[in-house]
Amino acid sequence: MTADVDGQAILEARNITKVFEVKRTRVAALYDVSLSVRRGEFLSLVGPSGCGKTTLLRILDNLTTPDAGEVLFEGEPLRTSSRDMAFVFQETALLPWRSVCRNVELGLEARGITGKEARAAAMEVLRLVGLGSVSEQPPYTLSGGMQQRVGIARALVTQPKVLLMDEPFSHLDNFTREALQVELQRLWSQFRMTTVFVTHDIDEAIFLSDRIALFRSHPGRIVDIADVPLERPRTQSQVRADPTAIKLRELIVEELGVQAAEDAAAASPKA
Amino acid sequence: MADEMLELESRGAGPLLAEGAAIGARSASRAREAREAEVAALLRSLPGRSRTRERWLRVLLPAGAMALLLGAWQLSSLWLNPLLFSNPWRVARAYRYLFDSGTLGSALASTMSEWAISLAIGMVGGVLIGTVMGRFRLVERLLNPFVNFLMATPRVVLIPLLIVWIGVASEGRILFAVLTNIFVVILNTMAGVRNVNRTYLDVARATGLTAWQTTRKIRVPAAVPYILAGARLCASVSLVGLIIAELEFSNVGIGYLLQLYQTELATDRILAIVVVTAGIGLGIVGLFKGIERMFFSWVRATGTMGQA
Repeated sequence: MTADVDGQAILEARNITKVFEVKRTRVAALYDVSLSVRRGEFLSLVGPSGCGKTTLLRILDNLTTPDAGEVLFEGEPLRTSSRDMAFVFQETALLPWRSVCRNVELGLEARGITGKEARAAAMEVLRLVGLGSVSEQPPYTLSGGMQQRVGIARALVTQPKVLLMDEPFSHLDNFTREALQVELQRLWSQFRMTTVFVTHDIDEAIFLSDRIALFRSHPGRIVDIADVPLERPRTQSQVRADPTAIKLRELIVEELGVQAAEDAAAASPKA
Repeated sequence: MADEMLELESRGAGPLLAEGAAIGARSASRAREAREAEVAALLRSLPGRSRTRERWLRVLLPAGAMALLLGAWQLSSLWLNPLLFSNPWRVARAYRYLFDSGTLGSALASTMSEWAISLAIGMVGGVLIGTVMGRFRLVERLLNPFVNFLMATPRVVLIPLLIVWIGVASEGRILFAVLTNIFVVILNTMAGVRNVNRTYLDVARATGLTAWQTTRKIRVPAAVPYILAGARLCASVSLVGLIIAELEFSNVGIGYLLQLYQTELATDRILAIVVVTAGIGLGIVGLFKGIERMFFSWVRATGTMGQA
């Protein structure tokens, strides 16, 4: 069901299994998971914590090695972390010894671009995310939302074909999170880079995505992929009021909620 | 009338009152000004925490204790032999002699320049060796026995060998100081490049940095808090090592002066030098604090060990 055969796939995970050992018990973080990411789409991975969505994202960028299965990037098996992909981390993971601008330049340095050229490119992306004025500050002086913008700028500066984002807004307060969601939508519409976005926030997934992959845990797997048939550009209030979005939300909650109930039942054998 | 409303609003009576009356945007801004003034007045009227007492205690208490000690010492000369135990006055005079005659100056110049050289060698060598040992198991296995052997050996026992091999020369003292100062840098750097925040390493991988770039751009900078801790120790240990070497085999430097005045029973001069070296120790601490504040302010700002 999740296999995509229409040839639009830019990134493909095939039969991925990943087992973690936790206190001598083996847990299948992912069991035989296949996922095909279409070129140019915004795909969210949604599910309860511990369902393996972050693990899958890390495997997609070869930050974690799967125990079985393979990842294809543009049809080729992925060997190292691809330079055509960029990763945005949950904690912003900015290097405190580098200024904001030098943090953004990091990705360019890996490609041998340094000096004025790197600086100009970094400044351009920083201005794009509205941070041109703080480029020389150390990152820890910025607010959480601004730090995450730097994280996004660092990912965008290399003009990646695929952007992988691991719960980038989960640490932020509501106002900042919604503002950044709007901003991310704007950037995505502008550059059309394929984006895989991990979140446990259903509303966030609906607002941002073209498709949403629903995860369940024990073992971690994808149970469904939902299309989000909403016009773009979207606004927060419009999506909140949209009947389709509301219906979709209910379906997702139901689908994931069933599992929450099952888990609760499994956790207390008497019930 | 308007003023009354303004006052009501500024006391938090809410915008409703202002809304009904003919108070436009201009009055609203006046109201805001009034409220700001009120808040400012309130802030001024709050009692500030008095630090004066604390500050007095912090300065006066140690200063008083010091004065008491010096006074007692001076008085002790009434019944103790001042030739052996000296007193503050004699020490001050000895210091004046050492300073005016240039003896202290030239000794300091020799000691501190050799200190700087051995510190530089210890830091550069220690960081290089520590980084390589921390990154390559093979090198660590190879060098570990030597490092452990030398570290376990009280370095003083090497002095006779150094005298035989190198003689009473500057190189011998510097080598001895490096032998005492380098290991703390090696060990700290090794720990630092190993205990790098895992997220930073993920960043390196996701960004596509090569292994060498990762070491240079991520691991070594991330180890800076460890290296700085090593550098502080290295600096003070260098001085100790150098003065030991000067005491044992030298005809220049602070250590040589100490050894000379010991044979002359010139306790006042010895004590004057002790005070000077204490000052140097404090100076070194200050120097490294300054370096840290100037070039590595992120270390303090992001917590002790570079975990952002």
